[in-house]
Amino acid sequence: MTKSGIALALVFCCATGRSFADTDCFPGDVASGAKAAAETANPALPRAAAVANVVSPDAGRHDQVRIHDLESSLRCLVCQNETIADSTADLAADLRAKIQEQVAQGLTDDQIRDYMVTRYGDFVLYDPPFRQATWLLWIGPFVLLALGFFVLARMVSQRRRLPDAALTDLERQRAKRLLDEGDPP
Amino acid sequence: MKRFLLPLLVFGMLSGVLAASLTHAPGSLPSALIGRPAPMFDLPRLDTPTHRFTPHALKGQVWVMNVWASWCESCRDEHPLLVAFSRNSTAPVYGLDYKDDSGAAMRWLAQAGNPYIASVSDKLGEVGIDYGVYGVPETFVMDRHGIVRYKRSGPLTQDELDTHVLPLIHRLQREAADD
Repeated sequence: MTKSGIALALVFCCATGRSFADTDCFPGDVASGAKAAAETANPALPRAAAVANVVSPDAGRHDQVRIHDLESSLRCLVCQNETIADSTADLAADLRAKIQEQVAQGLTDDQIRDYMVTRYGDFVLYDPPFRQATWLLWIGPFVLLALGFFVLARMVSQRRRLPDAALTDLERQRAKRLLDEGDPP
Repeated sequence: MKRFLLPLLVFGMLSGVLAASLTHAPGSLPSALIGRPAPMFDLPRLDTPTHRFTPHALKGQVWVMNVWASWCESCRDEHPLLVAFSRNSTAPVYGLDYKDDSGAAMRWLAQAGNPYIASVSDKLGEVGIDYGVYGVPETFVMDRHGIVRYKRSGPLTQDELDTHVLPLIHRLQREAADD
């Protein structure tokens, strides 16, 4: 039982894939975090800066939160266990600039995500949509869990159906003797 | 005996999954572009920046686009293959010089041979983003309607050329001849 339990748990992890990716996903080194924060705070792009001047400071802060949320929901294609927000890769920096530019242009979150998906596929999303290609990813763990419970339930019920171990008279006498004496003969 | 059957079965399944994963490169992703029109661009040529190039000019023929850069080490690995491929002139090869210094790029081509009919400079990497480039070198095959039919991230190998790229190009060219 324990062996098959472990095996099931392993299959579970493999099938989800998410647990591996998430545990491997380092929060990014201090430098990259600071860099990302600095970039969000001071949009380097002239267009983004121009818009930030026009709108109220509150809206600017709102945009910054939006930009960071977007960056955190997208995978860096170069170092695949990091988000675009965390990665120091060149491409991640380019894509951060692209997101800032598009937010400044007034695109919605969905439009910006679509822009990324048309170029890099669903893989770029940390929260992949439920599709024909991803159903196993979403359903798989629950199927395996159900399978595990089914196996467990069967084992328990089988064990329950075992006949009570009836003792023969000889065994009864021997048991009595043992109990009475306390020590084995 | 029967009690070992299930763990054995699960173990077998797990081994199967893991064995299959060994041959699967997690870094290579299916391109979202396959089956869709190649993104348009209009970029200056590397050798003559006053001239511009756009894929419109290649409508009607099967062509190959190779994303490369002089700073890219693995591009050097595949370079001889590209030179040989272009010498056979199976299909025209165009280069997208990705985020590169033009001087260094020209020097590299002069030194190692130029497999490209033309290369264009994508200095800012904007066209690279449109093509979903995430690891240079990358290679695309476009059919005569300008649809992306093949994409590879990473250096080409002789085996990859022989088993996938060349048969595909021949098939696409036959399709083109048929209609």
